[in-house]
Amino acid sequence: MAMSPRSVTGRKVPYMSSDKPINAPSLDTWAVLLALLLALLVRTGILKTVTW
Amino acid sequence: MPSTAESPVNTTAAYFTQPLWKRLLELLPGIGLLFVVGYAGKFIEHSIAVYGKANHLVLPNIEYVLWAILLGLLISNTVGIPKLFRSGVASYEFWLKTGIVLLGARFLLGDVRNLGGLSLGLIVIELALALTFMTYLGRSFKLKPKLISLLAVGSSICGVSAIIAAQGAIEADEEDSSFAIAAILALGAISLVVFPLVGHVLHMSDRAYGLWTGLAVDNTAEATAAGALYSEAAGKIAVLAKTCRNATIGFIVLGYAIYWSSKGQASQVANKGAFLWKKFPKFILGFLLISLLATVGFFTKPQTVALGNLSRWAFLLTFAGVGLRTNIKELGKQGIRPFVVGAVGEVVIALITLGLVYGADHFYHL
Repeated sequence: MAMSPRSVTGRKVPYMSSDKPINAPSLDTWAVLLALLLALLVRTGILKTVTW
Repeated sequence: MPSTAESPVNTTAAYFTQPLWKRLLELLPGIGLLFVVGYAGKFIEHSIAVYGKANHLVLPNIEYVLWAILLGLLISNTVGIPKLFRSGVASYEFWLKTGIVLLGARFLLGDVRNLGGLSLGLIVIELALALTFMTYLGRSFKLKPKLISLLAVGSSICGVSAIIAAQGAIEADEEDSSFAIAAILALGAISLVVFPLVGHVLHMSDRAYGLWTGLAVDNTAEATAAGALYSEAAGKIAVLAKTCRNATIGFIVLGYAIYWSSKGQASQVANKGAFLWKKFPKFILGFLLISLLATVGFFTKPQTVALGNLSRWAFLLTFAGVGLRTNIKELGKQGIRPFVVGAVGEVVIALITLGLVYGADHFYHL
């Protein structure tokens, strides 16, 4: 289980938007997995057109 | 969020014991808000263009990026973000990284190598100068040594994520981290206004401006937004340069961890390889993988366009989040000295990187 970073006093650091730093593996890994899934959907033609 | 005491997300350990579906469900209202704010920005941009055309007026084309950020700022600094939306709003960093990975499809690996190589060269110079200057400046202002380290890391590499990574590694005090993060975020917000203005005044090319933004703006979300505010091409280059800068995070944090451990004020780093891997932003590998697939022709042209558009949608959520998470009042509470040190440092770093980019432009014709 991921924990917040703690200071030398052992108190929880209050600034975090989540319990994980933004470069923590889980957030990055999920982002990469979602991007790869989307790429696969586009590649296989399931997701045909994405307009902007 | 870093800037606020009333953090938008549930930070208790109990949060992570909840089932995944429940945590995902919690995110939906906030993600919906990100979409509404981002899309409203896009709608405003489109409406102004249509109005100008219909009335034969030449109106300035203000990108949706700015509208989304402004709308977000307006909401977070007036009515505030209700608790229901906070988890989802904080997910903007996730969308930023997803967008960056998808953007890999728009870069051929050769471009990544050439521009990334040039960026890395400039980054090494920028890092050396920025770290030295920030340390000197922090000492002059008599800031606490670990706060100086955090500000130096934050302003030389990549803002909030670098500070968070360094905070754990050098066992800095929590207040120092909050100060450093608040200073970096406040300056990031200012850079959204200043950088595009300077770029236009100096008539910088998209590539030169994008490179400068990627090298000088600290937080990845703000660097991406500052680039996109100039032009889409500049935004792409800014993301690439900033991604290269992010890649150095592990090395710098390791250096500081060893330094503070040698002073007996932080734990020793037992396995340096594992430390570097842990701190390395993994989304960069995803970006390179998608770029590799695009380079070997895995995607057709329309598919590459589709992936680029998906990346735009992800960034739309990100830009809305940049505005929504910035609480000006809370940023102002963090004290003036770290902010002054950060501000002076940022101006100097911005000027140094501008000089580096002009130098690179002279030799490599960006």
